[in-house]
Parts: sequence; C-alpha cells; structure tokens
Amino acid sequence: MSAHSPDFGAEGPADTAWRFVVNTLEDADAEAFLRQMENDAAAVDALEEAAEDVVLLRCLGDAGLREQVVGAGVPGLSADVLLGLDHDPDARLDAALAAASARTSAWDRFRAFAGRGSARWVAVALAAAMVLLVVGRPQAPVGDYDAAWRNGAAAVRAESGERGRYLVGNVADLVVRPEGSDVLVDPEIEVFIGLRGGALQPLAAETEVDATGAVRVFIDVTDALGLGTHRVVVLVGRDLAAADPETDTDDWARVEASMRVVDQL
Amino acid sequence: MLYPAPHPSPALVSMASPGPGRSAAVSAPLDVATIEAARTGDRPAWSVVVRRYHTVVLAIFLGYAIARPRAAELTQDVWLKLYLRARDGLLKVLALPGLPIREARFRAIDELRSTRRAGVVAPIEDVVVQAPSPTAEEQASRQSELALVRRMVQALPKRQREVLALSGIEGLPHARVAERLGISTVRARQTLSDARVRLRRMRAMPDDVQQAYLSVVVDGWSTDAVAQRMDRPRSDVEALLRTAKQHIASGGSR
Repeated sequence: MSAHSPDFGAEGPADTAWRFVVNTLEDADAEAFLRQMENDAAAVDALEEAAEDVVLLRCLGDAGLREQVVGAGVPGLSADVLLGLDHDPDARLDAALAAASARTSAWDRFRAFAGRGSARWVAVALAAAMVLLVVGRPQAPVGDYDAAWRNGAAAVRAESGERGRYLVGNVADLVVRPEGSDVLVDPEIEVFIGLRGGALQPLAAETEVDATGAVRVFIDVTDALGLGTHRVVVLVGRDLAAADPETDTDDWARVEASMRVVDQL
Repeated sequence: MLYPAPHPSPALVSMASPGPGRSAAVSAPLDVATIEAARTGDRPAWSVVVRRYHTVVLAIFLGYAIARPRAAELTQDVWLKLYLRARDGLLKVLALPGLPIREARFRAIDELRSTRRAGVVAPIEDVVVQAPSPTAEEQASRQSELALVRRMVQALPKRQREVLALSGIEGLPHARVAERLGISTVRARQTLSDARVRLRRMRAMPDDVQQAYLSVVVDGWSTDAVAQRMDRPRSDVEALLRTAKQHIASGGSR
C-alpha cells in the first residue's frame, strides 16, 4: 500500500473488494489489491462476493438488467420506494420480543385459573394487586455503559489508525455499549464536548441505537473543534432534559472518552 | 454487441450468464488444465472462463457507474480481446481472475475519461461473441437470491436503506449520495459499509431464523402471525427472533 491521503483504518477484505468494484479506491490501492488477488484466494472470494452484490442490487432498480440476469416478471425495488419507507426494523423486532415476553405461560395459567367461576374474584383482586405493585415500583437504575472509538485517522490507507485520533474533515465514530444485558428502550442521548479541558458544552452529533442498545455517535471533526485533546461525554438515559453532563445518576449513564485532533499524522 | 460472422461456420465464445447465485461466486477456482487450454486459445475453455468470471467483469463496469447497456458492451469487449490475444498466441500467462479484472478496470477508467479505446475492431473473421440466455436452473437460483436481497434491503435501518438505495440500486457515487442525503462523503461510505455488514449477517442466518426475522421487521407481522404462517409454536418463533437479534448484533452463533 502506498502512503498518501489519510484514511480510516480497520478495513477488511470485503470492504476493500467492494471499494475496488465501485471505484472508490485510490489507484495505488487498487493496484495493490490486484496484486493481492494473485496470491490470496480470500481476496478473490471477497471480490466475487462484492461483484455479486453490485449486480444484484443494480438488478433491483434496473428492469432491463433484471430481465437479463433473472428473467422477466421478477419484481424489483426502486430506490424511490426504498427511500419512502419509514419503518424502524430494530424497533419492530424489539416490540415483537417485548410482546412475546409479556405473554408467559404463567400468565396463561393465571388466566385459566381466573376463568374458573368462583376464582374470578380472587383473580381480579390478584391482578389489581400486581398492577399496583408494578405501577408503584420505582424504575430500575440505568445500567453502566462503556465507550470505545471505532476508528482513527491513519497515515497509510487500509491500515488501522490510532483510534480516537483524527484530522479535521474526519467523522469520529464512538460506540457506547451497555455493560449489562438490560437494554433501555428508546433512550434519550445527549453528547457534550469539552475543548482542550474546558467546560462541557452540548455538541450536535448524529446518533444511532442498534438492537443491542449500543449507541453509535458520529462527530464531524471540524475546524471549529480545533486541534488538541478534547473530552467527549455521552449521556444515555430516560429523561435528559435537565441532565448535568458532569454527574452520573440512576436516571442516566455517563461515559467519557478523549478525542485528539491533530493537524498531521 | 454482436459481431456478425462473414462465413457460415463461426467460432463461438459463449458469453453465458454467470453461475447460479451466490454459490457460484465462492466456487473453487478453475483447474489448471482449463486455464492453460484457454491461454492457448481453446474455445470451449474460454466459454468456461467467461461463464465463471462474467459477473465480476460486468460488476466492474456497473460499479464505475457506467450505464448498463454500455457496461454489457464493454464486458463483451474485454472477453473478446482476451480471447483474440489467446488465439493469436499472445498470452504468456493467463492469471484468473486478475487479468480480465485488470483489463475491465482499465477499460472502465478510459470510459469515464471519455477516451474510449477503439475496441476490438480487428478483423474478426471467425469469431462471434454473443450472450445466450441463462438456463432455467440458473434463473431460478438467481430469482430466489434476488427476492431475498429485495427483502433484506428493506430490513435495514432507515439511514442504511437510504444510502444503499442511492449507492447500490441507483449506482450513484458516494459524493452524490452524500449530497442528496446531506451528510459527509465519509459518513456515506461508513453507512454503506455498515449496511453491507448487516446484509451479510442477515444472509448468514439459518433459513427459519431469517424467515421469522424478515416477516417481523419487513412485513410487520406479529409473532402469532409468524407462528401461524410457519406452522410452528409461538415459543419457537420467539426463540428464532432472539437468535436473529444475536445475529444482527454480533454475527450470531447458530
């Protein structure tokens, strides 16, 4: 690989192969990948898989190609239709699992018992007691989270860069994961930054929550941040309207990471 | 592109469609004897070579955002040029799939720079290159693969769907995707990479897990409806969905 424009590292063969096929590799890297294929069957497999993906995806939106590859009468999927979809697959899965867990066999037995004439009043009383118990119980504290940078700027393309170290123009990618198995449903997330040891201030950052409850935070490393080491604090909780980013409470989890912005590698 | 043969007995290098679905993509490399025969211009051997690596070459042109009809022409040009070189004894080494891929990349770059090469216009007295229809078996395999991909892309998170729609389906370069969505080019590339990881994880799910998962997240079905459709107890479906969640989170263990 040649030393040229910096890039995020930790790229696997599948990503390199994809980028080769869709022409987003630099010439030197493309040539290096071609040489790699001469002696590396895994690279060839990765390339062929990427090629299959490119053709199949293009088939979805190109009726002519679709007919050529899979025959006539096979439905496609236009980009416009896909852009118009608004559902959240992770939320749907979580909702299905939550609904399932709410219907335990114990509940089924309870319903059967409650349905037996004289036991109905006892059942109703028990149900009322359970409702009071659940409603009256305070919410469990938000569990601990940890944070790790997923990327960092590298001087050499396709090699891992130092995580947490960035150049202006990069997008820093921080993953905040729950340490336990309890997952907050639809959590609120706030991101703060303390520039060069200064006071924390809110930071506009894009976030995504996956099915495991892990939160990905994308921070645009702009000139406004400036060079130096900055504190990044992420709060994950139920209600962060008045949250103090310097404190950790039962209502939210607080994680902190250091980000270093440099002018060259 | 059809090169008409001026005499009644043309040689034929068959531009067969690629093998059936993803299984062909990871099939074993061609044997040494076939490659050597192709290197020396053996026509049946070239048909095998073209069938094996057709998709990769076509994908290079499509990946370079070259319109499909032109991509098909250029793909045929690549194979024809290599075949003619082999037939004329000009191929000292036939590295596969490196050679056709390298040739395709150069042709794609030329095409983007609008410095189209003349193509293969040398006397082609005895060669026809054409694209016969794929077999029914190949079509059936690819149809099921495409149907699966169609559902899986709908099971991606919204932002990943958006990037994949514009980049993968429309074929827009990352910079244009980023512009359309109001995000950075780097972010568009990262999101596309995430989408491909998630697609791989969905594809790796066992069939029953995949069916239950896609029914819930794409069709919006309840577990009861999925259980009825799959003729399985509800508890089984719940277990399948939990397995699906593990796959999505970490690649899964089943």
